[in-house]
Amino acid sequence: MDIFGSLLGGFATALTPQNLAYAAIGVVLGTAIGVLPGIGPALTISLLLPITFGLDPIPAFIMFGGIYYGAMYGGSTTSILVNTPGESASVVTSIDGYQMAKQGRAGAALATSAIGSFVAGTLATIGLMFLAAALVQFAVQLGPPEYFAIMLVALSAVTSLSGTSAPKALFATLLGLALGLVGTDNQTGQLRLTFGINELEEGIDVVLGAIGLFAIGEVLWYAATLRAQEAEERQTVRGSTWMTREEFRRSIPAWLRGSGIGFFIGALPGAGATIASFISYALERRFSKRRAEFGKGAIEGVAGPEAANNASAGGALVPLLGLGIPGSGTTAVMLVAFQIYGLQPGPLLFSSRPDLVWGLIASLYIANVALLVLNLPLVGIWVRLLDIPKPLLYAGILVLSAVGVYSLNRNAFDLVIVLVLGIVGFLMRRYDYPLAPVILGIVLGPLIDNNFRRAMIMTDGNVLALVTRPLTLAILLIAIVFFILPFALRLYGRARGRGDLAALAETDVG
Amino acid sequence: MSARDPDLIGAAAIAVVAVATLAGGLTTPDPGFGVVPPAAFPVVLGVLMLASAAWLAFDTLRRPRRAENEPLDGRPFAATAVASAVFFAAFIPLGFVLSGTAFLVAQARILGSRSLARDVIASIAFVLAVYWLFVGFLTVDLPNGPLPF
Repeated sequence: MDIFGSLLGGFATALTPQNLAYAAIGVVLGTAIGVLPGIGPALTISLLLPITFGLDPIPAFIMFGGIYYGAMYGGSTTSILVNTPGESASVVTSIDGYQMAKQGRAGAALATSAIGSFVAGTLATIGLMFLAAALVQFAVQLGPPEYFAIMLVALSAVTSLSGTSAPKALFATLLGLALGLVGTDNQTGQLRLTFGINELEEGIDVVLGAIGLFAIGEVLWYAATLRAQEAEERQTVRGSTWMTREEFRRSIPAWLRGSGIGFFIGALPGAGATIASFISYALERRFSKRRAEFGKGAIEGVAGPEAANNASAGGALVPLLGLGIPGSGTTAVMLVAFQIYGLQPGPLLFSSRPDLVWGLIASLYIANVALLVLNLPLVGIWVRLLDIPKPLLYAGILVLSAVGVYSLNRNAFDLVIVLVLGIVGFLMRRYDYPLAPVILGIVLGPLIDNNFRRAMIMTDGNVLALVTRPLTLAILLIAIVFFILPFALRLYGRARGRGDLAALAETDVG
Repeated sequence: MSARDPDLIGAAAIAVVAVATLAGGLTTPDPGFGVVPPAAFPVVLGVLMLASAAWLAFDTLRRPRRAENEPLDGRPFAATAVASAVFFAAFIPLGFVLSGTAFLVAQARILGSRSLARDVIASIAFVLAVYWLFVGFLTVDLPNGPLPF
């Protein structure tokens, strides 16, 4: 069946009143949690994962589509009105967005953000549809050696693009991989890295990693920096949440450029929304005729990065759906959502469960429309969420974390694991160790181990035989380039005494 | 303590994790089938962690000293860690509603809230709403403890 026929089938699956309601609930919940300070998309999805447990796979994934795009969008409201980005991908939005709000143009900033997110999300879903379908045709030719090499690409990219210190980023990746190996080896049935603790036999779920490192770590961080917390200076939305014709005219090219940048960077393993939004902002500023306005309330400075942010969400689904390999912390958690239903994304899922894959893709379109229809009228509610007293908000995050963790396996020991991971996450944040590679490592640890060992069975244990396969060799070379390039850029930036490239290369990715 | 010291301590901590990973790998039994034993990947990770520890130590000693990190509020941090541990320990025996409400009120106070009546009302409302969402709507079981719900 052709792509459009498949998509129509997907819409037939998704467009029931019940599924539309799930998409809307997903968007509202994803945005509501994503708006809260310190909560990024990976954590939003982890916290909301249990909500889908009682559903069948199709409505669950339709709701997930809404949560995913809602979570990506949610951070912009906080950035624009409070100048406190909820997550790293919204940092750039706050530069000009908050300035616009201070000038009484909060409505226009929120509008360009919401419409830009809709445009970018829709274009990225179109890109996802074609690229993932093409990738599936290519992926059926891949064997364990190539999958092993592709996972190395993801790990090398996330390592080199995360944080400010290469050895710390490397350790974060290795720690994630080691945590992913804890439990029963599924090829031999032997226990690994359990240190005699029976409760670890089932392994450490990536959701535990995300909730422990991000949620518990965030609450501990808030507690430890209580005295340093500054009072928020919040801007209000005056007038309508709409743009003038001139603002519209200036936003459209920025949305389109941001969409392209976001989609392709999002599809690269290890990159993601943060880098996409930074690059979009840098490009908008560099090629603008009104460069002096940037930093003082240029609408392009909101339109471009917000479009890039949401488009990267669609791009990040390309390797997940096409290859079954997550390229970011957020899609790593998405992979777990598939695994909970006994599904493995990748080429086989396209042929075995086309209803689900195309239903999910159709639901992304629906989620985008729901995002646009719901978010601007509901902006007053999102802002009111920020009125929740911080002590109650952070205590509530811990309670929700406990519920999420317990409902995953109904295992009390999981609560111990998340508390330990929370303290580890706090220490890593305190001493500048990036967290995203840990999350990706937990998911990729067992996958990379399995594929390497299966590759070795194919080659009778000859490691060098891997590089005699042209495709494997090419992918391994890409992994090396991905690992070296950001360091080289950083050195180049320092040598030239310029911050742009270095700052870009030193961005933590989510 | 200068900013250099935590990174040296970090390098030492990484070395400890590396040794634990190596030990865990080397003590993994090999059932004798398969080309690559199950111990191989953990051992490789342990070795690479040792390398990253050495790299971090070298990097830290080579660079000039930086300004100290901001001091932390030790008391609320420690109280939050202890309250979380108590909450998690009481989650099953006391049930979600009792342990969750008590934790919310206590934790809000630790984080600086001084409106006890508001916190109690908000905590009960929040916990009951979450309980209804999960148990009543999503049919996901939560522990009851001594309460009938």
